[in-house]
Amino acid sequence: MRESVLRGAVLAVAVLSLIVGSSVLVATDWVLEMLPPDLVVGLEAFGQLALYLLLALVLAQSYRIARQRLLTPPAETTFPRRETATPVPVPGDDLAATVESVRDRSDETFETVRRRLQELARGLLEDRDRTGDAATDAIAAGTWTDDTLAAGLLDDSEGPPSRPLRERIRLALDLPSRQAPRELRRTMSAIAATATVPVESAEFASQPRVHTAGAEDEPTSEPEIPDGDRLPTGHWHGVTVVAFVGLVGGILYQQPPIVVAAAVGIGFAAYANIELDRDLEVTVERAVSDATPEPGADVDVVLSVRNEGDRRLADLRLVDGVPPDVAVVDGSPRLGTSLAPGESTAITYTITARRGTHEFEPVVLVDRPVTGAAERLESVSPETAPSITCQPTAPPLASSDELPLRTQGGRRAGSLATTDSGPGLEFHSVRAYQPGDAVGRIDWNRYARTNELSTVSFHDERSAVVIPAIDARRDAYYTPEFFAGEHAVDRSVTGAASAVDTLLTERHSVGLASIGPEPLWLSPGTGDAHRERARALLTSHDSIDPRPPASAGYDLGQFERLPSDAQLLLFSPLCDDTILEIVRTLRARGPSVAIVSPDPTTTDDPARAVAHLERSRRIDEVRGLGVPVVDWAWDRSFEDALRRAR
Amino acid sequence: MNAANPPDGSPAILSAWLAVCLAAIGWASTVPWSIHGVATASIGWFLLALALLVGDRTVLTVGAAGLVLAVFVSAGDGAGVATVLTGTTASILAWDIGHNAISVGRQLGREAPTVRAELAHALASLTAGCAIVVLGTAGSLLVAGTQPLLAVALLLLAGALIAVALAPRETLSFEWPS
Repeated sequence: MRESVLRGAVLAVAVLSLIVGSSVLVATDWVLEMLPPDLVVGLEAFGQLALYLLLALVLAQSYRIARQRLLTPPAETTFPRRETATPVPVPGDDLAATVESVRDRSDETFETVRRRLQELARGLLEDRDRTGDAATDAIAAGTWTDDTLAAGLLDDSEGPPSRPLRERIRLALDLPSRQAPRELRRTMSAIAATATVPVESAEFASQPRVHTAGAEDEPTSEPEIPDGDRLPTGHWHGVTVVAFVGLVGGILYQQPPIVVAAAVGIGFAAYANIELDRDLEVTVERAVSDATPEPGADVDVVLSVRNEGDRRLADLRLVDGVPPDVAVVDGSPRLGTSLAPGESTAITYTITARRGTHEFEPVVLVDRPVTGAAERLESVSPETAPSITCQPTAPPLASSDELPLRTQGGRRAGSLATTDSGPGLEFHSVRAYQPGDAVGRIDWNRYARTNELSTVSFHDERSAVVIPAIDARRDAYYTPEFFAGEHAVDRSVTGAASAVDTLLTERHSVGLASIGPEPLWLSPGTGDAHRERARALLTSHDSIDPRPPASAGYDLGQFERLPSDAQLLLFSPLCDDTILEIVRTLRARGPSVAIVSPDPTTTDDPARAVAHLERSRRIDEVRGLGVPVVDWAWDRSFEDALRRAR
Repeated sequence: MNAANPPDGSPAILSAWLAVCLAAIGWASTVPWSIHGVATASIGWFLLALALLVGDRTVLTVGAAGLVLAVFVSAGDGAGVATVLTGTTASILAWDIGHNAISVGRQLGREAPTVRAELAHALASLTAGCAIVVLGTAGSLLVAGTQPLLAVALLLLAGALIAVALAPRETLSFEWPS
């Protein structure tokens, strides 16, 4: 309000001086005759003074405007980034980030990482058939590696480590803040070399990292979008400086062309102020080539937009609401166009389908007047094709014998039979009647023949109760290829789907569970309806969403409902130590546990190699507890991995 | 599989080239008149092209300012009104369309179809620029010869005040430093 009053006042004074000035210009002689000579002389002198004062003010004002233009970027809408799926880290990336944040040796983190590496090195040395003491001695003496720097870092000696001359020269030249991380990197590489793991690069991979620990601090993909308001962009801010500088320069150097050129600045400033305000009237429609695709299949999305208003939309920009967890693989979900009334246009792009139900977000539209001086933002949700649903593939296994389930006494998870005799369907043996045997099981034919009572036994029929459990804590969301999309939890779900399908086909009782902040639980059951229920849960239950949960916590409460004879088939990448605790807790509750572990680790930088080695050690530790582990390499199919583990 | 990437900030190609071509007109308008003008304009043109390569708004503004300054310098060295008007307009248009290129590049990226939006903006700005050149030339023909200082001062005051009134709102108000 105050601003518009001020603007009006300035314009009024401008118009007044324009009128007076023009009249003086057009009718110079007449005006001069009208005025007394003294006043004319006075006005000339006053004009001279006022002119220079004016020029100084104008220069000050142009400085302010130029400064503001250079310091503040135009206020433009930042479009959401919809092309890539929510990224998940590669195992070891969090360690790399920790190491990079270490400033010097006195840092607490440095000691934490050093202890962790020491622990790993000792474990690896012990595995190479040395006794515990020998491994500790080797680390203390620094004889475990040829790298003196790495050896010096891990021995517990006080004071600065002894360094060879070349290292000392390098140290003198290096920035202090780079030294500690570099030494830790060297040590990691040395440890990997001890375990004969080839590390592809001595530096950390430079791709953008996702810090699982600080995920709350990361800006979420959706920026705040004020809807429907008309916001000035400031596109033309600063053009008036041309007018000011032209005026001042032209007058001081007495060059009329420069003064005329100043008019260009005023002209564009006026052009920028043209108000072209109107409502945004558009219809947006979306079509997908397949609403229920297979995972990994390409789905074409066509988004069409039509101008329903009666004016041209000169500069319409939009981005489609691609679901956050799918990646665009071809084309672009964005468009910049100009639409006459009634005109429509369309964009086509391709996304790769991924397990789960993926809802499209609203389309974000930005309408700019042709001058670019303002923006109006709106989000529209087309009613057509609101989501795609993608069931996980479940390649069936040849038989449930492939799964690492156990024979517990007679309770082998065979399709029907156990080695025990008892009630059932399939003939097992005949024995002498004992009081208490069911009348229905007495062999009456034999009684008629021999006059002796005998009892027929059948194979004891007990189906196994198996509960595939998916580790879906935040620390299970890891992938070996940063932008590939598929991660360890996706793999686990595929494996669990195969297991569920196979076990249900063989008439076992199958449940379903997950480990995470808000876990999934399906009580064991059989039958086709149960199969559909399990499949639906595996497709789109929130706890096994393709997107990592915000919280790192987990809840094991659902396992208290576990039948005592149930077997847990745990799917976990085993990428952190908490999972060891979980396995111990679950075993303490009674059920037998077997683990299928998709391996998302790589060895392409030192920290990732360390994560790879730590995972191998973790597998050994779990096996030491008597839990069978199937190590599922990333490039193998589930069935292949199971066969190799047998 | 060529994954689509979100915009990386590279300016839109069509607008960027248009801006560089318009900057060339601004540069050319200084050539026959002034060696200092040409030197300044060359630096301005170079900075403007550089800004459109990397997508930097500040460098773009500095480059365009260099071009405008060069045109003023060449006007001081004898360039005519029409030349100066054309050169200034072309430089400002290069700045405008260059900024639009960066804006489109940041919001939509190079993989999206953006030609129609870019053309609409560029054509409208070009039309406005041509109108300004024509009006400016016509106006300068009307006001030729020596003028009384009072009239010039009043007209300048009017021009300056109009420019102030049209300036961004943040620079409209003064706050005296306390």
